[in-house]
Amino acid sequence: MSCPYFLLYLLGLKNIVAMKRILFIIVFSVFATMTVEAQSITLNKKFGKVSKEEVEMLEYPLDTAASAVMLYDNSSIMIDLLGSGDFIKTVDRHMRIKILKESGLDWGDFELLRYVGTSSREDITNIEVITYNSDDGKIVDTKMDKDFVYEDEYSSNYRKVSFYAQDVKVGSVIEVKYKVRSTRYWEINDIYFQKSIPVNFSELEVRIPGMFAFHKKQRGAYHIDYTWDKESRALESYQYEVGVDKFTVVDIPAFKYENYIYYPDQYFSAVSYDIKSLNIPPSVYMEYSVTWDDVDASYRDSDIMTRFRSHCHFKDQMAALPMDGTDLQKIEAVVNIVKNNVEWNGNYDIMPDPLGQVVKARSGSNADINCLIAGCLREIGYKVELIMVKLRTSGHLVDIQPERRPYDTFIVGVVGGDGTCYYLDGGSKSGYINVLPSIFLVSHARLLRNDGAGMWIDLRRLSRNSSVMSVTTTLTDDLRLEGKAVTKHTGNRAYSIKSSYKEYSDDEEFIYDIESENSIDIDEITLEGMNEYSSSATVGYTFMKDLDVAGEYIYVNPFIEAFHSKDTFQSLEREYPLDFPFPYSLTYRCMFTLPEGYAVEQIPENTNFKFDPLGVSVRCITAVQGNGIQVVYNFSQNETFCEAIHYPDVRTLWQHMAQMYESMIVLKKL
Amino acid sequence: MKRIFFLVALVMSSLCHAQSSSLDAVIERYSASFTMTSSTSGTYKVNMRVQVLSKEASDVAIFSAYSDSFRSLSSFSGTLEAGGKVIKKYKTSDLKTISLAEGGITDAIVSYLSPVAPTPYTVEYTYEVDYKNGFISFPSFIPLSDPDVALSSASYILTVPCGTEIMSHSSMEPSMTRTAKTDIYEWKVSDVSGYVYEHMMPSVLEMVPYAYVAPRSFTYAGTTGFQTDWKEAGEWLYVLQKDALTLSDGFRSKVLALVDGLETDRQKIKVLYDFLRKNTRYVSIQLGIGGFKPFPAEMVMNSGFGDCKALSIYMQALLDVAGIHSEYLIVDTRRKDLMKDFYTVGQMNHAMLCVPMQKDTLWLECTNPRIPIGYRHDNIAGHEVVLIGESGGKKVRVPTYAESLSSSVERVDVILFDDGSAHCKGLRRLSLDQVEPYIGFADLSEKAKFSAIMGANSLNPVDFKIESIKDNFNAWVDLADGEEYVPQMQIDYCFGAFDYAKVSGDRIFMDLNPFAKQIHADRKSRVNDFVRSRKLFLRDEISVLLPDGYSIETMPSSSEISTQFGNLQTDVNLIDSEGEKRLVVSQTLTLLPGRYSKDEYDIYRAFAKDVSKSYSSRVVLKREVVEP
Repeated sequence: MSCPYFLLYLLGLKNIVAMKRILFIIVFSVFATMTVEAQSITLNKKFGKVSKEEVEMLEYPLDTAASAVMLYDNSSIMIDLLGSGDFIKTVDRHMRIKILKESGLDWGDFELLRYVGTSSREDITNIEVITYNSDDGKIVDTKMDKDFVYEDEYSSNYRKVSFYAQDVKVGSVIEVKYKVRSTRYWEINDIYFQKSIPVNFSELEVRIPGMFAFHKKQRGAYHIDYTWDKESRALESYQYEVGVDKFTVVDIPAFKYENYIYYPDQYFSAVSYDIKSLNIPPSVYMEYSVTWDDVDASYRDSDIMTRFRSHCHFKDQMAALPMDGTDLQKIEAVVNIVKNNVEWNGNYDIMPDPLGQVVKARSGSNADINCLIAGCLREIGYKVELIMVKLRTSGHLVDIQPERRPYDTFIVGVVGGDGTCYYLDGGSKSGYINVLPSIFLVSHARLLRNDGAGMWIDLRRLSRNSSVMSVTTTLTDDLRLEGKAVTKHTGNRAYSIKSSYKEYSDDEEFIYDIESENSIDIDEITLEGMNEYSSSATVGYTFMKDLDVAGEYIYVNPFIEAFHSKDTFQSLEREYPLDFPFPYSLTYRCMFTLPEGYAVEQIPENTNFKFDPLGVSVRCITAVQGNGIQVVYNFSQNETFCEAIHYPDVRTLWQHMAQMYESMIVLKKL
Repeated sequence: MKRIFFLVALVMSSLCHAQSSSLDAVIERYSASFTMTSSTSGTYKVNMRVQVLSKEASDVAIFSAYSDSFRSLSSFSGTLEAGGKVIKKYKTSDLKTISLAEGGITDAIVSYLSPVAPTPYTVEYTYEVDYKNGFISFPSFIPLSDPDVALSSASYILTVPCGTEIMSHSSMEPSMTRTAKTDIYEWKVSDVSGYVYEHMMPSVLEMVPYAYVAPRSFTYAGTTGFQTDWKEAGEWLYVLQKDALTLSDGFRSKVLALVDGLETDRQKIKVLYDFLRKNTRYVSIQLGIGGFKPFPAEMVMNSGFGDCKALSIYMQALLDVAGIHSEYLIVDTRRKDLMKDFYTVGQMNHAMLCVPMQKDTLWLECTNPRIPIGYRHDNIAGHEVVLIGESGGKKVRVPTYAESLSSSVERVDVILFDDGSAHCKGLRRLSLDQVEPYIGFADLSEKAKFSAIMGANSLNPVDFKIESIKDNFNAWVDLADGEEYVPQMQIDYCFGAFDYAKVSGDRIFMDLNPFAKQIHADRKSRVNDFVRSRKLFLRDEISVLLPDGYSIETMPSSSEISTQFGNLQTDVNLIDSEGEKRLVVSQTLTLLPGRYSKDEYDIYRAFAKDVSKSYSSRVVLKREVVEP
């Protein structure tokens, strides 16, 4: 999609950078009507009308490395009114897939899930699969035998329907169609036009009776053509209109997964439908969600708020808590009481379980633990707020587009004595007050109040995230580098090192990785705060490092650790924006004492530059001071989001920094 | 074949969780019993109690039980205790179920429970599994599989009708008691200290108690069989598949047309193997007896897909039509040696074919016909296999290759410029098992090719391009009988690197070998012996044309590091010819297979460090002073 900047103006939004980001992800309700450009492979869309050209095609011209190509993908979704007064949703799917390489043969395997819950159910019927192959210039079609349709249990509410196209080989064209009928008419799953293989031509028709209102959202970087029409329907004497949305896309490239994306789905070209209301005058009117106030109310009236406002479950331990100290000390003490009683089960949930059961089981989700913490904090007089969060791994929440069920979980907001608000999540093992896991660092978290309108909270800059490394070093008699390094991490930098440390089975493996990454030998290590509920962590060690020594020269790299790796961005190009975890700063200070009998021949050049798209500032100064050399390096990154257009520069920036960490001091024997 | 896979997979999966050397959990009790009530039915009962001391061992507290058409979980109860009291009771309705079908078809589901609580806590489970429809082996007994877990006591009581002959492969001998109607075997073990996970460690089965038990004659899914030796086990399997080779007359004619006019068996086999590759794909199907019985060749003919058994049978049928005799075989791809004196086909996890030739034998991998014909891939070379024929099963060992045939050589010609950038032209030559990761390389996306070639080095290339890919994957057909086929591959590529070297003042600093390798060696004192299963030969040849006006200030000298574990030979030469200075570096790392004592680990660690140091040596160039 070429970014429709005119919308920026139309919508009157001032924050251009933020809006660019939104528009990359989503264009809502304003579907342009344009003529569909011809797809690369022209085809007859009718089922069974596969052409000789399609069967004999050897490669997809727009992506010659493609293992397969979706020649045609058609979905038709329809909500129907039944004579019983119920609604039913029907999905008719028709796909035509061309297999181009052996690695694409799996595209002949199909798996669908169908819901088999007690209150509603889905059925998958009319499965037809035909494989077309070329045999000496003649097209041979093989219809899949019904024996190759299997159904097995998938989970308590779902069964898996699998089927396998017959006679699939490189060159085959596979044509598939099936029908899904579902009583879960209010749920329309997102429809993805883009896939992991290129898509030649894709169409979607959605027929929804006029008594329904849905929010429609379109996303992705590629143009989706949209038209709207209406049809008349009648059920006996009852006449009603059906709105028909038609989407068409051509030539969408295969989606390429990249690093530094929290939610790849948001970049796939797709549309989604979120039910808003059902209105059958004069008797039926069901409003789902229209405004954020409605959304707020739906959560406020749920068990989430009830349990969040539940009483304190650890009154005895709370009573023993000293009431002096700062807000931070008291909140920390409360969190420790709860965490000592209830283990996080690793899940981020939205709906807390009954808290009595959680306390008894001694384990729970972050939602359970947050409710327990809230109860305890309220017990000692704190005002506690419920803050709903859509995690970064679920996509970007857009404040001008209310969603019916937007959130994944919630955190606790605590108002301190001086009115300062603190934020915490009880499920994060490496977190602290105002130090949340990076997936929580969103621009729009929703503060829910019992007695008033909710408000948006920006969680992205709650803590100061920094690492400060101080190194003192000198040469040994056998010309090795010997020294001591201490790094203090705070905020989310501390979170990162703590999380990383917890992945190791023991200190020795943690040390091993520092040693091998930096080609040093570590003698003693001192770790502070790695397993504590705190905002900082310190890693200190004494080390030895081999040097390159030749004749009268000694070469010393003053960087004991490298803070950026050029491996991070190996790809030569990128299509999607970069989304870094959090802003942070680095400070590295190295004091190197010169050995006797040696003089400085060369020191690294000083560096000072900025990179605006990421708010990066880099400065490195090396200075000879008496019998020592001091290297001071500062790095800061203030922005976390960066458009793909800047990717080549980001890659180069990382290369520059990686090279800087290889700087050399050259000493010459006197 | 899938069934035993799970048991071994369980053991292997535990290895993925590196653990500390301290104790994370104690299995206080593991009491299992299996009572065979008839030739087709039985009840498996387990009571286990585990104290979890550290959250790293929370997996040990997970309950899981499989159900399929042969067995079903009939009862379950459990408790979670902490602080000396029961804090939660579990019942069947607390269990969750998931399907085991991932990209395939199976009727197996897993019921599981994954308790979480602050440590220490204790779980106790009591459950029963009803067996029906027969068994080719009894439930296996592996009470301890995770590292850093101790076992206080465990027992397995097997009760079978009096006179039922059994066979077992176990780490301890059972006691046997005979009553009027039953024979009762009991395996008991107590006070097992567990094991510590380490890289390159020997098989876990050397360290944990286990018992695999099976009846010598059995009923299974309506069939009966014997398994007192491989011959009998093979007879049963042969009966299951002997009718599977039939192909329709029309299709037989088509196959005959394919080989018509071809002079040699090699040509015919090659054509049919290519036909298999072009017309089939792998789909896992594990339904009922389908774990052992291949779907018939006709099914593959009609569908174009099958699992390893069906695809092998299909290929056998194709060869049969062409008049070429082949034998179906079963193999365990994870372990080279079959369990001693334990003749159940359940220990295998794969099927393929062998074709006896005049002077040698061709081993045909039918599940992935991309594997070059004539090559015994790494998961079967040296493995014991059982050939299945009309006269039953026959154990043979697939020949290995001479170690010297395996190699990976990287040759890079570098033109270095005075700003530290470089143009590089590379050639990767792979031989024998080293080609395996590159089978299908040509089909990869540009990005995947880039990662495969450049992923491991310290450069950040631009303008990367694959110039050619050559292999000899079709060469077997032209070899003479008895002549060894060795797969080889050659990939030519080129790229630019603006950061090949770092310029600082008058000097240019560059790595001696940007394609350097590292040998992993733990810092910790070694607990287990260590094992390298095969020889590794990695050679880098780098030739760097130095920029005009620069000369070498520092470069490492040629050296050799040699130990009982292998050696690294480094040759560094400066060639000054016709005004051009070229630095020529070659580094050859050879790691030797063997089992080494834990006492030798300190030497191994020092060797690893020396190798890393040698690889990461640096070259310094200095701008020559131009005389005024």
